[in-house]
Amino acid sequence: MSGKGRNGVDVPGRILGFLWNAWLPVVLLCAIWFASAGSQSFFFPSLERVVAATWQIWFAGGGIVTDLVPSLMRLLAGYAVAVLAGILFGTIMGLVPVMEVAARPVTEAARAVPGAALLPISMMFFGTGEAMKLSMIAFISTWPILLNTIEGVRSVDPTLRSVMETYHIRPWHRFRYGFLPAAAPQVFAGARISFAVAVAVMVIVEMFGTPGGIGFFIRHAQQTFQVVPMWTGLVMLGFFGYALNLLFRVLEKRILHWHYAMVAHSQGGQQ
Amino acid sequence: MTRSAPRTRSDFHPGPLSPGAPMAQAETILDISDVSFSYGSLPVLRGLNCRVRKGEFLCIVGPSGTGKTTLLQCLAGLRLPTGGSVVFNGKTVTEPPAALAVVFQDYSRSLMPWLTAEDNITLPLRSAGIDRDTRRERALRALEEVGLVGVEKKYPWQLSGGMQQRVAIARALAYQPAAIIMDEPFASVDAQTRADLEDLTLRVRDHFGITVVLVTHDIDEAVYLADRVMVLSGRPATVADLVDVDLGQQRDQIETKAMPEFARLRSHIYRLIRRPAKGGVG
Amino acid sequence: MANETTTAGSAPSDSGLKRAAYRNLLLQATTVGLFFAAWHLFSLSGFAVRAEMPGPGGSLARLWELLFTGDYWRALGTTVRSWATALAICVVVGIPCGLLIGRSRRAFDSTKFVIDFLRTIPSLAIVPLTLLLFGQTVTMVVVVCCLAAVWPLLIQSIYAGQHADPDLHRVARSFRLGWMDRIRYVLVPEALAFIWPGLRLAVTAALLVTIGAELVGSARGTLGYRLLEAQVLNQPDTLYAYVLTACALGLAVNGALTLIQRRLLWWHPSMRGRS
Repeated sequence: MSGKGRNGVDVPGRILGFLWNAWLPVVLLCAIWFASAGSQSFFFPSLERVVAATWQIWFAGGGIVTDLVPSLMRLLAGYAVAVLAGILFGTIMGLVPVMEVAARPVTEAARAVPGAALLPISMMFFGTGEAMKLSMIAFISTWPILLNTIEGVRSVDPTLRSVMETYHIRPWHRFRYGFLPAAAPQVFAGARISFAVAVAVMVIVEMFGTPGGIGFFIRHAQQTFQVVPMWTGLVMLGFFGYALNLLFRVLEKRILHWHYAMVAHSQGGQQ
Repeated sequence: MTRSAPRTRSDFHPGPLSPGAPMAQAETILDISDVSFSYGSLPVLRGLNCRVRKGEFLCIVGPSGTGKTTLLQCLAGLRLPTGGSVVFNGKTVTEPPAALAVVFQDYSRSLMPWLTAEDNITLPLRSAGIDRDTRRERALRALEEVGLVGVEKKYPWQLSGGMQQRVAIARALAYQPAAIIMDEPFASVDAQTRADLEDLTLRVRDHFGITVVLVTHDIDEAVYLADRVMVLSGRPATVADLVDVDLGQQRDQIETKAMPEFARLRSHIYRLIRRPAKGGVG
Repeated sequence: MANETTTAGSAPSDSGLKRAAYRNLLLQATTVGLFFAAWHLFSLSGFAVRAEMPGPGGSLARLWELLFTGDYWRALGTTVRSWATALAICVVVGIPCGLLIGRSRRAFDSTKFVIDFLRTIPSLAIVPLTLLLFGQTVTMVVVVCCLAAVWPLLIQSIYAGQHADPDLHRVARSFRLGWMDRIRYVLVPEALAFIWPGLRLAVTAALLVTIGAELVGSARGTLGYRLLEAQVLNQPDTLYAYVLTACALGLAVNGALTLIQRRLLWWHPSMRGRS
């Protein structure tokens, strides 16, 4: 990252930086717009039509409420379960090495199994309704954060452990003020991966499940050969995913503010 | 994780030690009794004996790798000696005793970077069930005692090395222990800061009458600070000598180190360390 | 200070390590046994019976049968081939592009947004589009897989390009290393250390997406297709046999990656001191 003035804000530098970041996306968009302008192709309609249709279906037509919001709800519910389970079991397994070693065949196998392969099994158990969708999202997203939590807890500095022992810190405080923050950067890395996984699983289960959600929308559009709506679905999914990722990063910066500040501090030459 | 009974208020010793009080009459607070330690079949410590008196400043000195840290871990209850025992305040040490605080060498790893200085200091107090106002008051007083004012809301990594170690010492002080164990606490700071911290430790001991056991590889430091020096030497390490340091109660970086007695003690200890000990002296 | 708390000293001797290894193996074998036992018991419950869940015995028996059928190996082969093809494309495209982008500050700034945006798109959402374009074919699968697996490689290669260590190169020059030697002993290991995590991620992600795309897109003659087929035709034994196959494939790939990692990167700080 280029160093910017510490006290003043380097306005011309910032504007230049912004331009460097922005020119390619803008140029590409324009290129696609004009290249596809009069497109008669069935599979690649003009960008103009797609944009117009996106507005119509999703914004004016309330598609966001009817399709995007339910997807979001599903995603958050499944993801929340995954995070809680992952952190809880990850912490326990990280603190009890014997358990982690013993359970390793199961965790390795669960990590290795392609999530999509579990879809038919899930459908046989839960059908195609909400139970199937939520259970798939929750189950498959748990593993990255579980494994990272184990790693994070295991790598808590032994000096810190000694400190907590000699000062007789209570178990709950050890977790809340010791292990959890120490493992937090690693846990967040896992949470990030889990999130991407959750989004992917959400899309798949909606494609196979009962109607509802953006995954179903895209699949249904494709099956009924409504190409333009399908594209609008893809565009919305892209922005939806990107926006959520941005939100995730903002949240992470806030919760791990001490971590980022500390890293920046030590790289800034102090100490 | 060891589960221990919630701490009640420890014995707190206010007031300075009166300078002429015959040391021999003070009671033993820490009894190191024939302590040995082996890593499997490799003996590291053998037959260590020492009775630390209440309010005494004991320095343990020896070359790197002798097992000083191992001994410290045994004293702090983080390890069990494979032979002999450590008795603190009348009870055999099998886990970290409640009335004991430890200051570690690497301050950057012993302070929690996600907590402010004040929160670092008050965390043990919080676990002990002390209410918020008292906690805060103790923390601020402890920071004042170590010469830090106005940094309570700062994070450890925003402070210099010397300041971080002061926070660690403040944490030990706020805990109001009967004894403090320090593991090469000044090894990671520069010489000037080290001098300041050494004097701080002496001041704190005088003010609160806390027993201090300090491990160091720096002979000058050991002689400067201590009432007695335990010299470890040989493989496995044994007590080569327990040296009484009679340099007066008021120590000064320039005056004390210029005294001929200082040089004599220093040479004596240095010679002991360089020559492998023939049998332990307790 | 202490790593272990309140323990008597333990010897890190050879026999101690071996004993620990045996004990771990025993623990893990017990876990696997317990897992299969639990599976068996669960498959007898009402819930499982209604879902027609076969026990481990039935699944393994069916797997054994399948091992002698041509269909099984053809499907497995097709899947592995798709996966390998997609990976090859990703490596050939992703690594050079990443290295070049990494070397140029301007290129990095320019492409940052586009890469960030594109990589958050769940690749399996593209399947409907590629179905329209390529039908239920292996090509469809490879295209989707490429779109998924290229990102980790690209991003790690960018890091590699950015963090080329000038000191190493100066040392190489001062020793007058020929450019062949320089490539072999300095550039490649250095780049490898950065690119490897990306490659590892790409390999596993590619496997997941391959099977996922095969399943979602019903690509004929593939492992994913067989999974779907078994469920639709109501053949639970076959279904579970193929799930076990997919799992075994994933484990094998992971194991191979770990082995290769030890061979290639034994010198890297992250690998030292690992038990």
